[in-house]
Amino acid sequence: MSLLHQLREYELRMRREGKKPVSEGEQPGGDEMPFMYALQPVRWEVRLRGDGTVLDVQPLSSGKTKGKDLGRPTPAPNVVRASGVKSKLLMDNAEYALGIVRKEGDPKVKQRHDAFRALVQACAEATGEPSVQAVAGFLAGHDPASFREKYLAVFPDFAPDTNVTFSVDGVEPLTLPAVQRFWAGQFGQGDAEADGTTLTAECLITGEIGPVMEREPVKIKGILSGQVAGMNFISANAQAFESYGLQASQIAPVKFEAAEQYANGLNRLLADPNTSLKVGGVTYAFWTGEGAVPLVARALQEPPAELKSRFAIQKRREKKARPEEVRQTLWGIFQGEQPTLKPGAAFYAVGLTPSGSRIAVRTHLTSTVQAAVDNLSDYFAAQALVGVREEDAGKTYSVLDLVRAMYRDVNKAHTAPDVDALVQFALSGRPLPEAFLARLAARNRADEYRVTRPRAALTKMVLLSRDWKELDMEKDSLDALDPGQREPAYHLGRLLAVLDDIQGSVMKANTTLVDRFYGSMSTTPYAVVGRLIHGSQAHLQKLRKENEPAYRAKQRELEDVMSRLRDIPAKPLTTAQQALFALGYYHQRAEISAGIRERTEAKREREAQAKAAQNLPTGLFNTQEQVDPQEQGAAQ
Amino acid sequence: MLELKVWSDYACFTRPENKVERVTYDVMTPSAARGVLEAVFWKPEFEWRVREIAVLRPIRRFSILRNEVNDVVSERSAKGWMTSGGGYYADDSKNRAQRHALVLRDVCYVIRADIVLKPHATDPLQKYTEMFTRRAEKGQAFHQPYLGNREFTAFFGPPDGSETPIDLSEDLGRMLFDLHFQETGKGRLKYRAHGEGGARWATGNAAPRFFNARLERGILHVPHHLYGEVDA
Repeated sequence: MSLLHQLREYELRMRREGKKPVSEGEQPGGDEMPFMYALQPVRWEVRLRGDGTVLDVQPLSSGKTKGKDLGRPTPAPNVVRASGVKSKLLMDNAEYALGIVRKEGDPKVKQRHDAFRALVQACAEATGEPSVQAVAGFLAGHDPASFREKYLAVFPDFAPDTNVTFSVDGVEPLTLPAVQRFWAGQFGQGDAEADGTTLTAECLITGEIGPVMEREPVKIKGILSGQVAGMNFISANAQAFESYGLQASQIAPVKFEAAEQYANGLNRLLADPNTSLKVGGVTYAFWTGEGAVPLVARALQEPPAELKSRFAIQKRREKKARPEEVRQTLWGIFQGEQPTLKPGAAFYAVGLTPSGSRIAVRTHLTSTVQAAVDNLSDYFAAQALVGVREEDAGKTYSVLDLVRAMYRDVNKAHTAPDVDALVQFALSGRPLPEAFLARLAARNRADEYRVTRPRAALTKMVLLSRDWKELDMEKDSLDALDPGQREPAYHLGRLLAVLDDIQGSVMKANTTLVDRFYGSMSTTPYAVVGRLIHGSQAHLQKLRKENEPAYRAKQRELEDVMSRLRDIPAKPLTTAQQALFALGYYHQRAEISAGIRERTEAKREREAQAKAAQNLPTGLFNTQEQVDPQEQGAAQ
Repeated sequence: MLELKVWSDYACFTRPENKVERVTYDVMTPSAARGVLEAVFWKPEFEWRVREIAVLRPIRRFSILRNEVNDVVSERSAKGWMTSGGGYYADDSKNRAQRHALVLRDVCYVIRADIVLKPHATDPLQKYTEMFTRRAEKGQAFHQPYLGNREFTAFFGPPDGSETPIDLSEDLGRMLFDLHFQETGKGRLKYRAHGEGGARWATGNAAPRFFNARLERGILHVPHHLYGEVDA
């Protein structure tokens, strides 16, 4: 189904359900905005008598105290204006409405005011409304210079670029249904009909044959780093985009009304933080065929706190986060806030980026609400990973956190493709790009913090999302240390962590083993493993003399890793192997620090018990100081 | 019915509404299929009518950024460059625009189409069908066929009978069928019309026509009525 069709359906459904259209600023009371009306700030009201003479000019305030006061937001006729002269009906800036010049000697001002006057005249004739006739009468005998002198001299802050409207004996013509119908009637036939160039064609959304729009009537607002004035969806502004003699928006024939509907539908989605997501240069909109829109935007930006408890791996040996549980939790969270969520309803997502004044579609997904939430739970389940620090256990990351893991400075990187890949993975399960691994490996090598938890989590997600024929890998046990993995790269990573731990337990080096050897070990282990093992012997020897139990524990750890490592690959490790290396390194570090935490805990408990036995009140001594300072350091 | 198998690494059957920042249709359009067939074989005496497009590989999308041009080069300036050098290059930043495109990845289709003779044809239909079959087998083409964009060159050949469409049934929404040319006294474009007296220049308008496309077990059926025929 085409995107525009889906957006239009959504807009029509919202209107059926009585949801107000979205505009800037405050909402006017209750009713639906008339066709081709938009909320615009109006600064001045020229009050007329029934015979077309001026009563006075009334300033309307937006209530803003800072900056320029543009006036009270009012629903009023709207047009998309470029360089040409195009007037709005009964409400426009002072150049159009009153012919007051902004720049002396601008010949276009007369044209603009004439267009305004002609439109009001046409409206007065077509509707026969006395109030509009009064305005037309006023405009017929209007002289800008004397009007300004007589009525505007008292307002020193009057600016010709602010909007002016009219009222006649208290009647606001803009609110009259006849006027609104007249304004709506200005469209649909197209502006170009008068000169005979209006294209009659089949609308690609509705399939009806009739006049089609030449330019989009409503601009799309709220695209990240796009033009603030709004952007176009369909447009052709250069020769190469036109074809078969069709220009501007006619390259894709769409009925005027349909264009207004899809643009308003998209504007509605983009204005609501629950249905839109703006991250890393991409703007997303999410909507459904029926029922509520699941809060995926919010979940991707800030993972729900309730998920954390699902991931907190109770026992250290439990290797897998349970996706079914995550799924249930996520459904629970969404349904708790939106009881009208329908699992079987269609779910749509679109990712947009700006390109000049035009919108580029990056992603367009169509699935069901159920499938989207299931994929989202898999996305969160894939992030389950042990933590090196205790407080990290169960933590999940936002899209931007994960993207940040791949760059030194995310603000200097072009992140749109990465963000998009992650969002597509989260919503449709599309595999993450292999390029992520190369970038993560580069960061691991370059950054002194090596494999951080977000990096390890993203590495794991990429490994899970794709099928790696070249890797002999057990996917089910990537959450925490798994000595049963077969791939040597994984155990090489573990080996580096163990050797570093041995070094750390006997000396405090300024440049640690990991600092010096992470790069070579993770790419060409064959060249360095022998040297590292050899070097570690001296450390072990020292440890044996100073602290025999610690020596035995470390020796056991080393033996455990070495026994899994049957052969060391002679060739440089592939990108995928390097990823598994990083994960092995991270898992082993988490294991080591978990061991330290456990021992510290046990030691504290023993001491507490001993004190209790001596009937000494606990808390007199600071237990912190009694913890082995070296282990304490390693735990951090 | 004649069959032709086409495949390529990429394809972009641009949706008209996303013509500038391109987004592809999910499935090859009938007009793109006609373009492929005409690249292999075409004569003024007949027209191609596409009946079915079978999708053989899963629909995969892929997003790229590439240089596209802003202007259409006139024939006259091209002739000038032939004699005095110069040219119009997409790499030149004056002519270039970097544009995003959402394209299809790794595609393969079987096109099933009929040759329908025009009133002024004098030779039997069999002549043309056999010519087409020979050309398809030998890999002959007037120009290399492409899938939607010139950049996405297509390989082609007669199907070997092992092709199975993907198992997917889905509404694709309104899809471009083809452009409908109407000759008028005054129009937006000049084009070549072929009739009894041979080829001639005609003036008129072209309007795109759409149809409700549906993928039925991996096959897109093109309704007969689009060609002005009564549905079978």
